[in-house]
Amino acid sequence: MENVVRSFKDKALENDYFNVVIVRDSAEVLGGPQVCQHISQELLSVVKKERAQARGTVLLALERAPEEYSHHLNQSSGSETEGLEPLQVLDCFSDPLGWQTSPEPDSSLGRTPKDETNDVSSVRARNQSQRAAEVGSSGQEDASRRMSSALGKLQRGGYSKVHFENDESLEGLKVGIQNAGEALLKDAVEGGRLALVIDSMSTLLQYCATSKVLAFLEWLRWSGRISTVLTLLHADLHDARTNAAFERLASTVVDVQAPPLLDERGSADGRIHVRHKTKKGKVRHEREQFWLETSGVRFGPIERTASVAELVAEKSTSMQSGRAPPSAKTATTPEVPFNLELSEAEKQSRARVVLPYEHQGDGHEVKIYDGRPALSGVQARGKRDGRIGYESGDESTVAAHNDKLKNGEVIESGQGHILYMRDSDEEPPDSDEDPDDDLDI
Amino acid sequence: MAADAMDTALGLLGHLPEGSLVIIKDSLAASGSFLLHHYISRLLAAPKAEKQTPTSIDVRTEKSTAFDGRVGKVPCKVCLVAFDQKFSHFANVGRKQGVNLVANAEEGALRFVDGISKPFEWGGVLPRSTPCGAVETSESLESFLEGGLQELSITGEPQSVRSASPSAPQGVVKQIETSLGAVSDLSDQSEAEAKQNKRAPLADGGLAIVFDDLGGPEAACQGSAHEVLALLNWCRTLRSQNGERASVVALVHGNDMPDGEKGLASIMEHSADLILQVEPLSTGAAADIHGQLLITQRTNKWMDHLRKGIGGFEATKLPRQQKFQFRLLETGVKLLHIGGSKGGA
Repeated sequence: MENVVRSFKDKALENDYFNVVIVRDSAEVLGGPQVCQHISQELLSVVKKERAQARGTVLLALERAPEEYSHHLNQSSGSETEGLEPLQVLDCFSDPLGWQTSPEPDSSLGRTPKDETNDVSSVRARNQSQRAAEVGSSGQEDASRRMSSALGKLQRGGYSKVHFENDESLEGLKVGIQNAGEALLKDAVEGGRLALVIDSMSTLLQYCATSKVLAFLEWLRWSGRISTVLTLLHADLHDARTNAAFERLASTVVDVQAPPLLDERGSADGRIHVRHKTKKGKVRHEREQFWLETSGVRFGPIERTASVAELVAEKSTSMQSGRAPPSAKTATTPEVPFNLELSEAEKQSRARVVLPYEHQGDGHEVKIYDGRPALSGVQARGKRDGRIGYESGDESTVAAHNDKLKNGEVIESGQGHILYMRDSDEEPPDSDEDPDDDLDI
Repeated sequence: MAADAMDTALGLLGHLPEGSLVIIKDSLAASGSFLLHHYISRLLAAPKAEKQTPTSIDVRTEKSTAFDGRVGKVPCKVCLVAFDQKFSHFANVGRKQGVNLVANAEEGALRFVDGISKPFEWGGVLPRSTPCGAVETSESLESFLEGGLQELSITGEPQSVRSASPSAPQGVVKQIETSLGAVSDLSDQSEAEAKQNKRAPLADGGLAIVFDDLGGPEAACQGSAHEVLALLNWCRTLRSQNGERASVVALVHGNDMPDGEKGLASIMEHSADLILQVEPLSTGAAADIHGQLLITQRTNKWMDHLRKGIGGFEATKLPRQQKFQFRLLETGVKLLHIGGSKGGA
């Protein structure tokens, strides 16, 4: 979370860097909107204290009613300063398709658009006394209203309204942001920038094509007026390509994840995984867990020892990002009460063992006992005893081997042994036939 | 599980929080319409005797008795937008649950917007494509469905607004507007009074708009989910007389699209405040359990509602996710804790 907040203080460079923070969640995970709201509150307080390059914040309310945001954001900023909030909320929520503002003429059904608008507005006037003031009923006002709606801006209830119908290039939204920006930056110094919060990129993607939204973001970048964009993306609603496009665009991705199923402490409501790309191209990863509380979201470090699943997940992400895995030992060995590791001596003797199907003689003839009398006739001795021994490159038997052991000799042949014991003498020799005798590695 | 505990779990603490969206998500294997009926009857149920002047002593008694869920419950105006069932069906079920919907409609507490009797009127789909033919079709249907239209007359004059709009949900918007306009007609005299009382939110239970099936408008606008989303958004910006934004309860069928595409239900889930997911039992049918219900709170709306609203609830922390099993009864529904006693408490 620190990295995210710090990134708000970064300066956007002319026509180059701008900070895009994407909070990603899905329907299965709780807490995405709350985390996004928490970050937007942080952003707002940074802007308010004038620690960021942005001098004002524009919030596009797409998924929730604008009233809810102003309530929350005012609550967060508290009463420390009574000054004007550097925040403008654009209402893209209540009438995104322009139903109320631009009725289309359709004379075939016998109602003129003017009649209809008047009807609607009079109903509204009776029904919603608050809105009545803004909704005119005379034809003149009607015309001017429609004109203002063509600009995508209609003051109602204190929020500028934006709608997307017949607006392929999102002109209305751009005009709305520009107007809000002008209002916010009136008193600011020259070159002041804005922070933009889009409460749900997915909702915007419902109304407009992906390419248009991406073009809109590019427009924001090159407009030179925006320093930070914060948005929430519901990853499960979009295909992989759209998700990848936004991930590429983002400088910071905050993945909201469900808490692990077998969390012993079990208290956290979820986790976040922050991938932050700095201006210089360095990538930092950060993991935290969070608790959803009535007053907001509380973040804390993940304390307990990492489980296998997490380490595997960590390894895969680090491999994706090209980082070296932390260490082979920690990555593969779970913590168990008994020793799974080999000591140095054990490792050495293990390394000396030559498996029977490997090449054994360097340049010598390969001799693998297959139950038949050896061509050289030397190995037959051991077979008579019912015990077959084999030592590569040298004809030795189990008896000889045992003798050596009895004498306390250390076998320094440079290679390990594998002893084969036949089950019983009754078995015909062929039963021991090695099924892999033609294997030659 | 006691009836009041069940209402708490379903978010029915008095009226619904303003501007909230409750999504009931069901599937072919388990229908969720019983929850709709439950919401309608609980929202309309009006224990009038409970209204008290807020003196300090009374507030305390409210706090102590708040858990039985009756204090603070104020009659809520309900606008029922039906695309699946006729009014007679809702009236029949309501009668079994002890709520007289016909009387409520006459009083003006319930408004019924009919989306099935005259489908082409609210839809406006056919007029867009073939204007001349559509009127004829619509008229012939009108005469065909005349029986249904008779029933509708209880909600006031028959809806005569023929949709001139190009999109189906816009037609629905018009119908709701006309219907709600009639509500405020009835209480024009008290409007000034209501304005004065704007600071006292409990004077009026607010406005709830109930959709019995979002599949109707979705089909009418040829599956473009964003128009349905815009319709729900628009409903949530309507204000009742106490100045509160309306809340919306909507049923949506959650069966996934065949090609793995995310349907309307997934999109709605993200903007919802409370999701009630009705599922069949994973073990198959059972004699006394009819399915299970997963209740998820996606936002803090109910917590905020509790915090500033009714005293006594403050101590309770509503869990984010709860799972129950339910049994359908003649008179309603019973929620049971999973693994609870036989028959539940």
